[in-house]
Amino acid sequence: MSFRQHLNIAVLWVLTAFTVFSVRGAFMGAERAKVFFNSMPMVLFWCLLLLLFIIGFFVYASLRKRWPLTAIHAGCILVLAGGMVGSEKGHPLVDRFLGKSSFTKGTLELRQGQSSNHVELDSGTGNGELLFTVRLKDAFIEYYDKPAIHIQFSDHTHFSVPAEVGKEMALPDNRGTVQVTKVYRNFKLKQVDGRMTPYEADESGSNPAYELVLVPDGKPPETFFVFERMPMHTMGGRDYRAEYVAPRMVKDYKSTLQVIEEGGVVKEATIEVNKPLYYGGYHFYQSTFAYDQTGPVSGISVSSSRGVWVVFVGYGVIFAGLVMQFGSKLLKGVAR
Amino acid sequence: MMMGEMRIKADIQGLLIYLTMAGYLLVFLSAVKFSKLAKVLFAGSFVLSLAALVYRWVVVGHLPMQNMFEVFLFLGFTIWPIHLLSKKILRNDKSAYMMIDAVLGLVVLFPAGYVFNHQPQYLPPALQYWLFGPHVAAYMLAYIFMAKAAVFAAGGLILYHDDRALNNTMADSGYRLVAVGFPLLTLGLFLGSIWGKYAWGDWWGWDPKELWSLVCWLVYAIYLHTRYAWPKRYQIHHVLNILGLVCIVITLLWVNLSKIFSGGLHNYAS
Ligand code: HEM
Repeated sequence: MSFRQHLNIAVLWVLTAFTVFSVRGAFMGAERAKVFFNSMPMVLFWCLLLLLFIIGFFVYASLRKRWPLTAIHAGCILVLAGGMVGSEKGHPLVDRFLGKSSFTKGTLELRQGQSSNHVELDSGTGNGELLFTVRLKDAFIEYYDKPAIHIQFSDHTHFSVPAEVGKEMALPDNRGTVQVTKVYRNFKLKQVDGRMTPYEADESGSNPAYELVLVPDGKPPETFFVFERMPMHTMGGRDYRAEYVAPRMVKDYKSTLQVIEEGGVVKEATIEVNKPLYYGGYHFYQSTFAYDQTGPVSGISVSSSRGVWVVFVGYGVIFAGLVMQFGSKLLKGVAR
Repeated sequence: MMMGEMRIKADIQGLLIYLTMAGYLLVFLSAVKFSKLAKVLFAGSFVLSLAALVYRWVVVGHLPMQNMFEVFLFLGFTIWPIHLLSKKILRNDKSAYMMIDAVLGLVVLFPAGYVFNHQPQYLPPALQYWLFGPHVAAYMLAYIFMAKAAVFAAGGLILYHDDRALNNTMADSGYRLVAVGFPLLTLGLFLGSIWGKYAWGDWWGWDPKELWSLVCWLVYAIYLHTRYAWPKRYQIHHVLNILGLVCIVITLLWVNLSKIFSGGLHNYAS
């Protein structure tokens, strides 16, 4: 057998091994598979694969001369190389080479108004530092459905009104009308002329509340408050209860981020799932979202973009090469 | 999990699917004896499948390619256009090919008609990305071509004998279909990577469904290189071609097959 024939078979073996590893990885689940594919034996395998591609260009004239084939295999090299420099193992290696200090992936947890440049690394190896600061200016959730106030009468009749200042609405069975008359972002009480009076507090914190006026048929109006963070409660002498019903079908999580360098805002953008912010070699993604007593807490995943463009160009080149290679074969009507 | 027990869909959506399937069945029965009639029936079935798809689109208000039901519905709709295209690719217009494609139509519509639940769902945030539709569509088209390639491979294995011309036709047809399917498979992988980068920050996440789609891609790469190394070993080509389809089926159903390995990014089908 000639060297070329040996190499033909070597390629088949290596691709088969790659396939077997991938099947193995699929049974591991994403997290363990990632560790497996970054392990030392696999690093050797990636290098071997890369080497095989390069040897291929020297050994097979067609890979050099027929440019669709050149594109397909050069594209594979690009994807592989781009993946390697951006990987968990490759990233620090490239850093050492460039004399830089960076990280591949981590999480930044910010409350409204908070800023930070410390990123908790996903690898669990401490903190990564950004060379700039990120501030969470605003964070909110968009829903498919709307928040509502749910009113339930003692005979189990119930009724919902949108949780926003609105029109007077008729209750079922001619019971009268109900209307949301005021919305508080931070509801507080204070003494005014000896009476406890609600007001919208300016200080930080949040206690969303709704003022409603219910007019029972033929009786004087009754005012009451519904608090977002309090469950349904009974009100003395009244035959109804009310509670806030949060919307459930999340459409999108959004955070407005500011990038701060040397005291000034250099970039501001609202990120959402599928729409990251890019700055200084990192992409910032909306990752998690929660509420605590102080308001929204936005979990932002930060990931290095190293090698990504090489990978995408590689993919594009492979695809173009494939279309040329097979397109011309099919058009010519020859299968070889 | 959307995979429930087998259930009839007693509504307009179900009716459109069942009518399309009935159409495909008639095409299958008439393809060889009354091929002119079968051609008309095939086109008619396509119109029905288009109606089923458009109906779904209107009901859910977005491109219907977000869950298993919609994916199989879409596959059922691609059968006739791919049938026409395949005649060009294969340079052949045998009525038996129409029969094969009609069966394929029945096979892909069966899960949409009887297995997967079609309750409309709100789209979770991660799926609201414009490349998501093209990503799924590229894969679906690739899968249909690969399924057809596997039919020829199976035919090649079963009918393998001294008839050189027939052996050549089977091997050649299988290759031609892979030659269309493989670039589409690559495109699906590519668009999925872009989407992954935008949605999760990683173009590759080592998630089981990703790895299975890589396995499919690699099996076809092995097939192509085996053809180069041993151009006349048709039986090996055929086996690899069929293995490719087996991997595709595993990829498609992985989330549903393995409830044990949960937590992957691609659980949108559940
Ligand atoms: C995942 C990796 C790879 C992919 C996706 C790939 C893809 C392809 C494709 C699509 C073809 C064209 C087949 C045809 O026209 O039927 C091809 C041919 C070929 N590939 Fe690869 N390839 C890969 C790895 C390699 C490696 C590692 C080598 C060698 C070191 C190699 C060497 C060749 C050769 C020699 C041909 C045949 C060229 C000819 O027809 O003259 N390939 N490859």
